Amino acid sequence: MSTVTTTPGRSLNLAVPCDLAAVREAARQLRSFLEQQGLNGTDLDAWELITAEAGNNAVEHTPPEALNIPVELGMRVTPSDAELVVVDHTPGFELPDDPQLPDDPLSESGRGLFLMRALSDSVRYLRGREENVLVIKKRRTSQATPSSDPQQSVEMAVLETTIHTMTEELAASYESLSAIFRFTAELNRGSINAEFTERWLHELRQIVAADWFVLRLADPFGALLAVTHCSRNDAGLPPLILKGTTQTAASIESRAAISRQDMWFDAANPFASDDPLALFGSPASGLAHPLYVNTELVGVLSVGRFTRQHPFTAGQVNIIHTFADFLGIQIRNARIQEEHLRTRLVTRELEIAATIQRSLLPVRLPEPDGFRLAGFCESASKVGGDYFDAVLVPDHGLLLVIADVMGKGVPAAMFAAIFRSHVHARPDLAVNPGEFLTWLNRALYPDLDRVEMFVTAQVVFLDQKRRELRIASAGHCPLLVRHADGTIKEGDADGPPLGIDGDLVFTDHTEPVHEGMCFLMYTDGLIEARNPAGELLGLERLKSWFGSPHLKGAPVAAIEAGLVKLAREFQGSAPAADDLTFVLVADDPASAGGAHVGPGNLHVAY
Amino acid sequence: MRTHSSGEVLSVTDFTNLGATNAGLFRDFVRATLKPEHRFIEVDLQQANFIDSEGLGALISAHKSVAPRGGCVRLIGANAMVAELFRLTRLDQLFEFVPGT
Repeated sequence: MSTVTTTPGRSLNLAVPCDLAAVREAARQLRSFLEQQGLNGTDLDAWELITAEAGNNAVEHTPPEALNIPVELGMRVTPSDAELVVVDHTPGFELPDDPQLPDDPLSESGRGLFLMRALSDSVRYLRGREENVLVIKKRRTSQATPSSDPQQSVEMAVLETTIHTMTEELAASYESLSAIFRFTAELNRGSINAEFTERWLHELRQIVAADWFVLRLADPFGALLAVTHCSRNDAGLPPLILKGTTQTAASIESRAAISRQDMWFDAANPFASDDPLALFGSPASGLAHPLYVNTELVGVLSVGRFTRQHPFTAGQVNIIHTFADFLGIQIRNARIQEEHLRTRLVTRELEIAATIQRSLLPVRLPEPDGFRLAGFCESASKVGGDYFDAVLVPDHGLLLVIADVMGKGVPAAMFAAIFRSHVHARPDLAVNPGEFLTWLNRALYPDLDRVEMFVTAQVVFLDQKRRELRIASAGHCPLLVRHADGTIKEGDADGPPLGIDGDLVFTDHTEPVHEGMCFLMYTDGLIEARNPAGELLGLERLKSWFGSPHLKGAPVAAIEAGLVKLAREFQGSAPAADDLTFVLVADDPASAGGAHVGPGNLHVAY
Repeated sequence: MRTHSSGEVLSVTDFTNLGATNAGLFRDFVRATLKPEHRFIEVDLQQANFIDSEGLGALISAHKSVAPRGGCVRLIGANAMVAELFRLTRLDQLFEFVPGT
């Protein structure tokens, strides 16, 4: 066994061959050393076991090509504690925060990490490319007495060396800590931006003595990695599409993103010729570190050197991880804030549009002599495309219009508004619904055609004097007429929707109004309501209900309530997919003799 | 390391530590000398001042070889440190501890 004692006194460093017997002997030597430093029996037993476990791991996981490299074990003792540092050349492992015993009490392995943690006060594992460093610390159960060693001056020198080494480590940590503090302070003054990230990455490059870096950020779907920052402005690196597996992905950055692990490049793992990072030339050494926040891929940071002689040390890799992970969290937070703001803006837009749409509906429906009206409008989303109106045409009768702009949301609501202004622009055409639709189609066609939308509409003119309905339809659901005896007549579906062809001519047909007659105008949301099993309510079911005897002589408000109940009970727990809009008009001789000013006959629900 | 057979007991003696360097040897000794009539394995720990996690694994392996026969592993004369190791790893319920002579 070759043992190198690098410093006498309060620290002992050993470099031993990579085999179990050698590390076992080293554990004994370190125990003897600790005994000389005055540690008590309990501490000595614990340290011997900790050292053996750490050394065994370092040996058993070393790959064959690294078996010729010694395992380094160093012990440092202070009056209050002792610290073991083991440098291994294994591929490394993820040290859990709280190592546990195996789930199976009869497992014959898997207790080493648990023992190291249980017998010490802290265990840290710093992973590097060619070496990893395990640092275990444990307080002394009995404090050391002041030394009466005649070689005190030698020990003081050793102590100074130790303090100097610790100071250097602290200085490195200080650099990374102070950078993080500056970063945080700057973030408090405003959100993260490209310029700030650039500065941050240059700072990292200096601290870890890297030659170059590339930061790629993932798209919201985690499918594409695009370069946002690169130490070479002229690099022009193409975006990476994430596909394949860790083995098959084309580039080191993709493999890091897919595997969620650091991917290293060096003499043993050079860039493939088509790897974008090959731009930085050869030789190179470094790593691609994936930035994950929980399970979400934020990006990949690659940091490299133009050399294979001096790969990053474990401490430097630790700093890269700290910087990159912190940056990833900040980028993720900034994205969440941006998304939140966008959602709020969209919600606000929808609220405004919904207000506009509500303002399109009449406050209450006018009721000419001898007729009663009831209307209902419920939007499936905050803003829909349903619209209806009732306009009294003095000395003639009542114009009723119902329309459904195909589509939902703000665009549909906006077209409903445009449609309404057109309806109100030509009351003179109201008495001829076919002519009215022909004009509406010609007027709206250019706009509808441009945005590839269309409108189904039905226009009914109720002629009081002649007691007849004149009906024209543009691709809308058929009007349903209920006679006093309960028979149902279905109006003709006359023409195609508005916006399909600008030169269409619509016609109307006439339906006499008999005593006790009631008619229903509605949008497809009523007959296309679905129950939880996915079945449609359908026209036949609606006709059957509308013709049922219990509606005979019922007030129009009761028919309206019954129809809402029918739709809701049919839907059950199924969510409403479309707006629900209808208007009922009933012949009611009892209401003749003046305008009706009863309670509101229009129910609008949002 | 030596083994000795007596009736339904197989004894393993003469070792000062049981760890990564000789856990395999321990397993081989037990495997080679365990006979169908052995229900108990007595491991003499009176001279053993060190056991690590691999040594524990070797003892669990011995336990698994006799437990199906209704037997067990008896640990003879474990010192305080070794006993503490079994307690810490909750293996003190698995083995029978017998004071040394």
